[in-house]
Amino acid sequence: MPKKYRSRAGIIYDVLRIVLAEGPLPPTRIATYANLPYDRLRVIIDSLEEKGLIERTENGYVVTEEGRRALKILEESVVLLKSLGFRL
Amino acid sequence: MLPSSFLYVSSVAALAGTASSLVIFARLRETSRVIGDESVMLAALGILVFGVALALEAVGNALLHPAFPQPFLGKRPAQVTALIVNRGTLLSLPLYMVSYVLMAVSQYVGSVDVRPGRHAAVVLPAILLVYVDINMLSLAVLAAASYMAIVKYGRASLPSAAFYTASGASHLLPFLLNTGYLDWWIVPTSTVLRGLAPVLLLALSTREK
Repeated sequence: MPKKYRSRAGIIYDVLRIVLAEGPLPPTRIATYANLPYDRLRVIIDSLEEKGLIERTENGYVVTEEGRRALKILEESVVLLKSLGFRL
Repeated sequence: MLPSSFLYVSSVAALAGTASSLVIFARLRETSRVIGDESVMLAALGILVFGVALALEAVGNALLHPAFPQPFLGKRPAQVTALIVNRGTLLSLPLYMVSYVLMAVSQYVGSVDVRPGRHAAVVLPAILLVYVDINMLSLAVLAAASYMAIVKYGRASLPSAAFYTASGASHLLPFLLNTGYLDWWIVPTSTVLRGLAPVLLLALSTREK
């Protein structure tokens, strides 16, 4: 049974990985791949765009160089975050 | 091993825990900064406070001076006397509470309800003050945070289980003092367990990568 809650850090991790692997992607497609309701994803996308981790192109969102760096740092903290109760 | 030397061993274990806590704090702070998630920063602060508490406990217990004047003891003199010997532990206990609360709050602040049509709800574990014992309170907060995290997110990893079990056991052990069983090894052993908690968390997390 799918869980009802996910951590914000875990969603950011999924979104960055999906956009890096499959991008450029429109937000609706990201929502499908990340298994999230669109309104919940929109908030995350806006905050990632504001931080400069992803950017909008004609064909959809892509991960920026800053986003790749953030993903690398996030990957190094994944086990720690899981251990402290975050769902990633 | 003599009681005094075990006290020093426990202080060394606590300082090792402080060092591990600082490494974990630095990693989580950097993660929070780059992704802009405040809930990760709350968890990082929780670990930092845990590390500071361990340092306070280590230094407070290790710098015990035999000429330290004994205050008027009042109720439960035997227990109070036992705890005066470990005054670093006494001083640091409220900090552990703060640390656990920060770690618990970080999980709920950072949680997103992913059911369609619903919105994120922040639920904090209720803290019921049933007995004026900071160890019991710490244990209650730890248990509530662990239980609700598992109910909410559905799993516990090995580093997580090691961290919370060692921390929980360190607060469970001093309950013996309330039963009237007083022995020199109780408080230093609880310090060792608390010191080992972040060391295990860091070591097992690194191994799982």
